[in-house]
Amino acid sequence: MAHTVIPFGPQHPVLPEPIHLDLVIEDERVVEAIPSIGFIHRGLEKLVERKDYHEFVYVAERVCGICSFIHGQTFCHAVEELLQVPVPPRAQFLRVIWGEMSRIHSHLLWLGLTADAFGFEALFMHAWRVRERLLDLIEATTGGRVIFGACKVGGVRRDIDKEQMQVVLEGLKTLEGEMRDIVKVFLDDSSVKERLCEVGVLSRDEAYDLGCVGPMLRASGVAQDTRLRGYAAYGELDFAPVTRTEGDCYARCAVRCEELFQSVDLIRQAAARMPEGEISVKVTGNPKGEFTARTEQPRGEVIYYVKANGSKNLERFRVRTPTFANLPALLKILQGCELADVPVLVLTIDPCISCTER
Amino acid sequence: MKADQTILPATVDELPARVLMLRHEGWRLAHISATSAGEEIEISYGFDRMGAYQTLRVKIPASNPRLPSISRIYWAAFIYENELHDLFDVQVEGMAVDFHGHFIKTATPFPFKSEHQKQEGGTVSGAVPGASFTVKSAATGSSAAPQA
Repeated sequence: MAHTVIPFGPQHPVLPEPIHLDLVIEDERVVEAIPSIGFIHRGLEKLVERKDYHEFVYVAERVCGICSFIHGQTFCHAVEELLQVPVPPRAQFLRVIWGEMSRIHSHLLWLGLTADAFGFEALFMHAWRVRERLLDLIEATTGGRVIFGACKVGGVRRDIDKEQMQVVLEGLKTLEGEMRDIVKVFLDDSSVKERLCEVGVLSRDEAYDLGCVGPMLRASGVAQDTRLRGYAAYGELDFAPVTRTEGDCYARCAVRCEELFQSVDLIRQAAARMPEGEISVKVTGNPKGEFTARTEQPRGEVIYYVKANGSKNLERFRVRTPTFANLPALLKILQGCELADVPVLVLTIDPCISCTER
Repeated sequence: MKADQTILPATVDELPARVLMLRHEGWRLAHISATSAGEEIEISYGFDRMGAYQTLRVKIPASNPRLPSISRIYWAAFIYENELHDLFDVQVEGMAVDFHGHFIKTATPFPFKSEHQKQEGGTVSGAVPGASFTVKSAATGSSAAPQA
């Protein structure tokens, strides 16, 4: 049968950001998908040669507009390791709290976009309505909604006092109830299951072999979560990676749904165990050497490599984002799928192209 | 966490065998990156195994940046190798999927090329007009994920 090539993106209703796929199709079945990126390549890695390492925290935060805080945190972590800066424990707990808030808002955003992709507009609006509540909490504690500006080398810029923490915990209580309502629809509604179950199946070995990270990997049964390494204050909190074994779009959705509540629990634990004390230390000198930092973004493990020569500007800054690591898996699950499933499959990796382009 | 910073040096010739050994040991390819270092380019291959992490590092001359592809061992490596080509002008030979310079569309060709590479003159390779990609092979075998 003759092959037809259908261009998908860079402008497409389901794509919040530009990626282009050439879909080679045979009748209604995708034979191959060929990606190309670079539409919004910003060269941020190169900018490290012009901005000093303190200023660059702001740039790192802008690598992504969704998981911005964890980008800033990971950069700070790498530089702090090179400088041997003892970050105060309270700052480490605050980083956990804001990091988990980022995860909740990213997952709610993804749930909304996915609902939109399979045509459930009301569910999309509910997911984003609930997300607004969390953005209000983020704004109340950091002053920003998506770009927090709260992290700096040596600690954090803002504290959350007892009254604010009470507001956060009360807000989370309301949020948790509302999230349970929408999660019930995502996981139990027959029309949603029809679109997600047994679509884009990735076996445990395939997911591991293709270098998948985050919910893409955990939904195929691999219990890998970078937070288990105990960076920031995660070593003092109790949690286990959320996993599923089906490896399909439904499993990936279920992992993200369950991680919403795991994040709420982690914020509560961090609030209860956070010690009093300083939130930052004075940082002097310039970094020297190289360090690879890894943290868990909402989309999976992010890798920051920094190399410094003792000057205020780093010699090299490299980010391997989770979406970049999940692209080979996307190409794999697109092979042989129905054309109508392409939007859901593209969204199942929770693509963040701004991150990927850097 | 300091154990994560282990860097194992390797030569270009022994790279495929070393990578193959890591795959047999159950390591997952986490990333590949390049760093310009004067007359050399450092290529770092990061591997993860259930939280443990190590880096295999190869140094290639900036005047003739060529590497064998490891995408026949780790199929997913093709994405990083195309990036090495499109940003640093590193010629990676034998990629499983070769986009011929059309993977990352940048306004400036090879934007991360070092000053030393520029002084040496010319490009090792470039975008091939009319050729958007070539598929040479699929994934070879499968390495089982270690049990959690």
